[in-house]
Amino acid sequence: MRHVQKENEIPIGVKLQLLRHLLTGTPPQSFLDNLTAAQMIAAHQFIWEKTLEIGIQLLGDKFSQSAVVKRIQSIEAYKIAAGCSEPQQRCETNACLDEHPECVHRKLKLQIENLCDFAAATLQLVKS
Amino acid sequence: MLRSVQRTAEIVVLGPSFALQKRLLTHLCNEVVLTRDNCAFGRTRISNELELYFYGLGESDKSKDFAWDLVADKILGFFLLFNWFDGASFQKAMETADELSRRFDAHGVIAGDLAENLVPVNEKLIGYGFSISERIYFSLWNSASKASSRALMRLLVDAVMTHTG
Repeated sequence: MRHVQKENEIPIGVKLQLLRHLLTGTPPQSFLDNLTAAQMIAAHQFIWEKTLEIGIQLLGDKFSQSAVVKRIQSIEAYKIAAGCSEPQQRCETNACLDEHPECVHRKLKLQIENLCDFAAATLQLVKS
Repeated sequence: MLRSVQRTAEIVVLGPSFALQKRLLTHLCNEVVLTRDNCAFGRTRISNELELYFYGLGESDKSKDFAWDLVADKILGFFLLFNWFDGASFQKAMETADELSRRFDAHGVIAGDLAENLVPVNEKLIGYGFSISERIYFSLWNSASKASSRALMRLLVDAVMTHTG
């Protein structure tokens, strides 16, 4: 059976690349520029899940999801920096994807970088 | 008295080199042979009723001639091996993974071989299965370790059990 890739899905190869960045603690900046804003939503979801998995696997009971959340720039701070007057909820749910795809891309790229930083710090912490 | 029926389950092993495929097969199989066309084949008997067959394939163009369309629906799954520290090997694995997932819905495990170079990686992450699709796991793998190879096999069985039925 053949798999038809949907517009907002990311290929397995991209997921592998993202995972490699997470596991080696290297930032994926330029790589993310090749993804569409819709794909960035899927990439963000994937990176979020894998960051939690890495945290749980390495830190066990000491892992706290709130520590990850603290690492990510808040939606409120992002909106202020972007000079956006849309309701916060729209930003949280990426509701303005169609109107402002570049803004959604920029926000998610920042968050993915934050998550990669967290994973890198966790890898370093457990190693030392 | 019921007559025992022997069944086989087939697993395809893709990788950048025969040596790497052979390492996995050696750890998982009772018997490993090199075929005349330089492919690795291994088999292991689970019980009188079940035997696993492993077919090693390279990533050369020749391997693309392999009758994927015929076997994909009946294989138990695949292993896609690559060298974790080798960018070219990783790139090739990415392309192969994309091609496999585009064409088939096979269960599989993609394994990045650390080749005993374990220092840069936390050992808690070796053998852990990162789900990267409904049917495919990724894992870091130490090809020198039988335990690590068996962990890959457990992941493949887990992928099949989790996503079947």
